[in-house]
Amino acid sequence: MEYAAVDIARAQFAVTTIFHMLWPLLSIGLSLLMVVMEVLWLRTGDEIYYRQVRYWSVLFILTFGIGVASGVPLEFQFGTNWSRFSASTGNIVGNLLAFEASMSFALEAAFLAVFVFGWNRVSRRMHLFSNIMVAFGASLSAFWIMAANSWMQTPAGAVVEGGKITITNYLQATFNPDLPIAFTHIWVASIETTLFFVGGICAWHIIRNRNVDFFLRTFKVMVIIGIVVAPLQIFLGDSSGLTVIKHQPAKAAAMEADWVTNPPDTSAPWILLADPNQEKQDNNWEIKVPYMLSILSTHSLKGRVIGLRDFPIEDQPPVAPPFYAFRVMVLLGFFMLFLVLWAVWQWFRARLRVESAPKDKVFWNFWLYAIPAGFLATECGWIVREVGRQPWVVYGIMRTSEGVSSVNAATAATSLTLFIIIYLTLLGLFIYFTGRILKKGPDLSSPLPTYKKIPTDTGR
Amino acid sequence: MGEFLPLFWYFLLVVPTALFIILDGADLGIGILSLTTNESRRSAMLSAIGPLWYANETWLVVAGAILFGAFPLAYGVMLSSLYIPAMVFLFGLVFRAVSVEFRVHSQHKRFWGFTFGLGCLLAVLGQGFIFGGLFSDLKIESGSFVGGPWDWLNINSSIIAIGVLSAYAMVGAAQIVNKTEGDILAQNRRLLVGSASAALALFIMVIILMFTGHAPISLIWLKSPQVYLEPIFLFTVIGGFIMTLVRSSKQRSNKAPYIWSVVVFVGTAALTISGIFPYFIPFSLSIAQAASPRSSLIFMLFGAGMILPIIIFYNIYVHRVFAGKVYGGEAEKCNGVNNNEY
Repeated sequence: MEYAAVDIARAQFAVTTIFHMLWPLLSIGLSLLMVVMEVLWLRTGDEIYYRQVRYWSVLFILTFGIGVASGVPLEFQFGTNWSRFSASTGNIVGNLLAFEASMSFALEAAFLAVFVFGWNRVSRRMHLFSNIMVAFGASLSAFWIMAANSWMQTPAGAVVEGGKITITNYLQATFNPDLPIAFTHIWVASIETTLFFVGGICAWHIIRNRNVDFFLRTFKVMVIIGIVVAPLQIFLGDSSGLTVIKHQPAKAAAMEADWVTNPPDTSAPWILLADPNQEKQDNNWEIKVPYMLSILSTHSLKGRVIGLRDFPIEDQPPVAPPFYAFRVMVLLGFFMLFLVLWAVWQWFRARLRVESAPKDKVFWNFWLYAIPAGFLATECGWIVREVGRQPWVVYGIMRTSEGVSSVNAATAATSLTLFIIIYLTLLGLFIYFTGRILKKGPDLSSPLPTYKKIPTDTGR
Repeated sequence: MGEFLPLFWYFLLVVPTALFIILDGADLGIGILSLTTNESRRSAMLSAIGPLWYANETWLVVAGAILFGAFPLAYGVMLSSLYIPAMVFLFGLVFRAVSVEFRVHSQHKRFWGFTFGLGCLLAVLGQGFIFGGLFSDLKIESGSFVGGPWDWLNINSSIIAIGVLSAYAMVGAAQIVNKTEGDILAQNRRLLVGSASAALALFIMVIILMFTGHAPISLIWLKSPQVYLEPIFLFTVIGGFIMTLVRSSKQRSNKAPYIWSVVVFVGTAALTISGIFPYFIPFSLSIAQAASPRSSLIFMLFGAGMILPIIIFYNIYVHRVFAGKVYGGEAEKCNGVNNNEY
């Protein structure tokens, strides 16, 4: 019974997180896009940038709404399903979540009202400020969430005494070794995910020759951001991998389906593809690239890479999910870089012009069908991160099975089923309504905002 | 001094919780009332919720996180012992939120209006049974809930839940009277009188049940200072109800019933908190037992405690930007997309 309860609680948290994550990924990126567009609008006075802010804000509001709706149950699931985890780690994980709620989420939600409905009620400056607060709140949220999550990966500043986790140094616990890279990696992931979401929507309109001017402008902003972000993300991924090797070697070994530590003065081969078999503690079959794992993991030819068999079986994470998810993520990362470079090439050849752009059907179709790429890559990364941490809920300190509530399995199974049904419906409806917004296209004719006159203006 | 920090954090938890119940309570109440009316009126009623319900729901997120960070034991025990009402509450909030979003973009406004109301109803019933369930002698052993999944369901908790429902309908109707004009306003005056009377009757029932049914409550109430405080709070609540009723039938002030409803909520909160003090979960877990270690509470003061006044400050600003009567379904307007299809 106990065993089943853990699995149900894990499944429920996984389902809620996987679904919830889609929306904040997008709302962090869209909020930054809206700041860029509003700054351009106020600087240039070019109406099209105002229309850009309004158009993308419609998608932002929908995204934010579903994000809040799907995220609030997550905040309370620590208590409903993981009460023993909460009781022992509330003094750090709970603290950091309280920082998230009070410093960032509250900011984002309050100023969102001004940003969305305040165009004719506040001054220009106040409106831009509200927009920036929304974006700042969204990104700061990600920071605190990642602080809590990365503490569970690399629990610093804590001692365990008689089964109780005591935090000895709060600064060390907050700024734990995994935090800098974990936050940067996911923050850049939100930007890249949004970039391909927005880029795909642009592609959809440009193929159909609708509002080409409007969407080419957005697309060019996306390409400029992409030139920085796509290569940066690959570099950050590599750094993140090095952090994992250093602090969570079992996770690193599972990611690469690497069972055996290479003996001194030999090199570890990199396994490109395999069929990992946990019972045999080996792969049923594998395709290897000699030397490669030593090079990737240690950046040297004969570096020592620890294999999974060095860990007792009860301390090993499941191998297949992190192994495959990792490969999909990396592949998508390079695919997105390729699409950005292709777009730069098109721009360079002067193919991103209103007259000529719609002709490149293949190019735009690639961008259109790349809409899920960022989402998928991030989800895969998250699976690597969370499944790879198992069997620990707090790495090396508390096992997942020790953290679960004593809720009876039937009740938990019912709520799990409801979560799956409701969240799947939500995703379906979100896609449906996003499609409707997309088909309607931007509003290019409504009156410009009047803003509230600030006293200095009235003298004119 | 050792006792001070848990109590101070208890206060910092009560503030956002109360703000959530009062501010979002009106939104949820409006949702419930919208189930009783037709589509054209529903639109006007929903416009009274305005653009601020996210900001109002923030207080729940803040309170939940403070509960987790400052009182992890209570957070875990409460939510796992009240698993079913907690899930009903959360699913209700999900329905409410997504219905608002989808309604804007959908042609089936009636359908989403209905799911909106249903979501509000579920969220309020969930809250009512969480509140009532806390008085169900939940079995807690060594920091873990050891009872069954339905322990929260009994006559007492049901009466409390229906009382909570009526009170939310009351504050919702009062908010509509405050925010709208015309026949919606007149209709909601009647709804206001009905819900306030029901809430008052249930409140008196609950007080009698609590006082006679729970030995520890009568003990606490007869202690000093509760023996002096409780009658004052009781008088405040009943006075608040009566004033709400009196002022809602008069045509003069549209704001007064809302203010008196808020008095009812604040009075009830004070009555409850002092009535179970020093317990966090009545009669099994005290505030001090539930609290995080001292170092953690101090750490939280820097990150969250000092921010609370700032949050309240900018929320007052945002509420002021949108003060006054709503006009012409402003919340429904959505300029970003072209409303003529290609």
